[in-house]
Amino acid sequence: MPDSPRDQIHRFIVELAGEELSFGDDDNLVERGLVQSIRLLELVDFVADRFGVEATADDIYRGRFASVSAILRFIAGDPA
Amino acid sequence: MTGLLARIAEADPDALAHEHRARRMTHGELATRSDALAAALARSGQRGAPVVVRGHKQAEMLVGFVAAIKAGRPYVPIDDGLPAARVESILRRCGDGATVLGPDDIATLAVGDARPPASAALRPDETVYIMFTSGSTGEPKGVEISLANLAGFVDWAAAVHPVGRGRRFLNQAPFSFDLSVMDLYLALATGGALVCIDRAMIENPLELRAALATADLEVWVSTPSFAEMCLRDRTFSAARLPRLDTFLFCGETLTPACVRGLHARFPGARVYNLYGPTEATVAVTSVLVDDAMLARWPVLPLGRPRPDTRVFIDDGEIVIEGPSVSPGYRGAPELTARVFAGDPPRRRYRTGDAGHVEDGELFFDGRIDHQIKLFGHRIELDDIAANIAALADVEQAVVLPVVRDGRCEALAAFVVARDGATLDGEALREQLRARLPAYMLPRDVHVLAGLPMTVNGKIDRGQLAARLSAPRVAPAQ
Repeated sequence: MPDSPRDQIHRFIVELAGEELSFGDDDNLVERGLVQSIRLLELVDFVADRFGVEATADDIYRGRFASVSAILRFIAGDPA
Repeated sequence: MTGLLARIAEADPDALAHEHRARRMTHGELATRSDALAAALARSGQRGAPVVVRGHKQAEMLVGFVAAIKAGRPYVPIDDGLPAARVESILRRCGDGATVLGPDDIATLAVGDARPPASAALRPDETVYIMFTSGSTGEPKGVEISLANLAGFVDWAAAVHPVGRGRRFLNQAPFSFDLSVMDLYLALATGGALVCIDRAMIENPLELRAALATADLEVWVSTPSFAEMCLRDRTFSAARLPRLDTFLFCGETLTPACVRGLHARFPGARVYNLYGPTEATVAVTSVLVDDAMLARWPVLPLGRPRPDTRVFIDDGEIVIEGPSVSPGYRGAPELTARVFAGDPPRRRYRTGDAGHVEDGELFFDGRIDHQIKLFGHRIELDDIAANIAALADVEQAVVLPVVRDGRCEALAAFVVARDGATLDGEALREQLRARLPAYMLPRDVHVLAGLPMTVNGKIDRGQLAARLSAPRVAPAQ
């Protein structure tokens, strides 16, 4: 069975960081230093490639990539 | 009208001079508005009294700079991103006679068709700007640059780099960082346009992507760190920026990996490495980094000095002698005497940069004050960082001392992996054993997703150092 979106995003963030990290779905990715602001783009591209959802600059400002949970809501088309 | 102002006035009045988001200003508007503001400045303040220009990237800042030159007054650029304490310290040093202007003040004053008397304009030996840089004591130092210093830099930089006429220049650096002098005056003096990237764009990668996609840049001026950040965006390429053919880098070490990345994304583009301290007006050496250069040198050279400038090594330190060397630090004669000597055009400045010459090429070996003593050994931190960066899968590395009670007790390295690679701190230490003596091995190797950057777009060593002194959280076992 393929991984859930949550697991895929989780694994991609660990790959981005280049080291084993432990973090919760609601942890703020940038503020906690899990994803540096400049690498957020790679996460955004990953989500676009894998789940077919394109983000805009406004989505970043509105915190839609702030945490794994926020990204999952964004993919699902739920309001922020 | 002579020199730099004359060059700026040659521009086609209808040509674009400045673009920031939806706002645009032509060369004609810049000329008229700066005339009107200069008339007001020449009336209201004393000759030589600084004009402090505050803001972030607005067209009004350019109006303020050019107006100050026309009014016979030096300007002091202060970017909104500077911390309040630093701004206060800068304002204190500017003195009571200073005029402080924000973008709104300038918009209000720069109207009408008044002109300053032509005789008011700055003379070559007068100070055109005062650029504040961080001092080792924590108090900023105000570097005074004369109009002759600036005009000589612009003449040289426009002559030796293929900047053309009427082209679009990237402005990444805030105007309070002297790297911006390169794009600002190269654009103005060649009838070109300054295309500004602002802080909000740099902080939001999608906004930066959108801004670059429509920027239609032709000449790129930035720190290498900023270009490395852009290279992380897979859409940053000639497909989006088809006319971008010239890259000018200054302000930090340019790595071969960065140049190779740019060559791959922008085939045929020319990448230049420039070197110089604020105290010698932006840059005094330049080199075209081509394939032959990349094949030959694992660490890139800084290039050859300007024809009118001598750059030499004295006791391991890079010394610059020539017409671009600053008169000194404002209000600090002792500090000035410590590092400056002689009279223009043969004034000399001791850079504090370590360097050496090999086969006629000048090389940067790190800041002399990045040399530390650890257990009696003299250690060059940037040397260790270069060795780490040469290891497989390492993109970037910075080495800092771990200081306790004012003494260096160990070394710490911060490393970033190449795209798609995973790094292990202990494994890196093992690989380093083959390259470095034991006393140069970092005790701690921190693997980060990216290095923090300062408001100027350089690697933020201060923030990294703060991590080292912050209380440690016990790592998970």
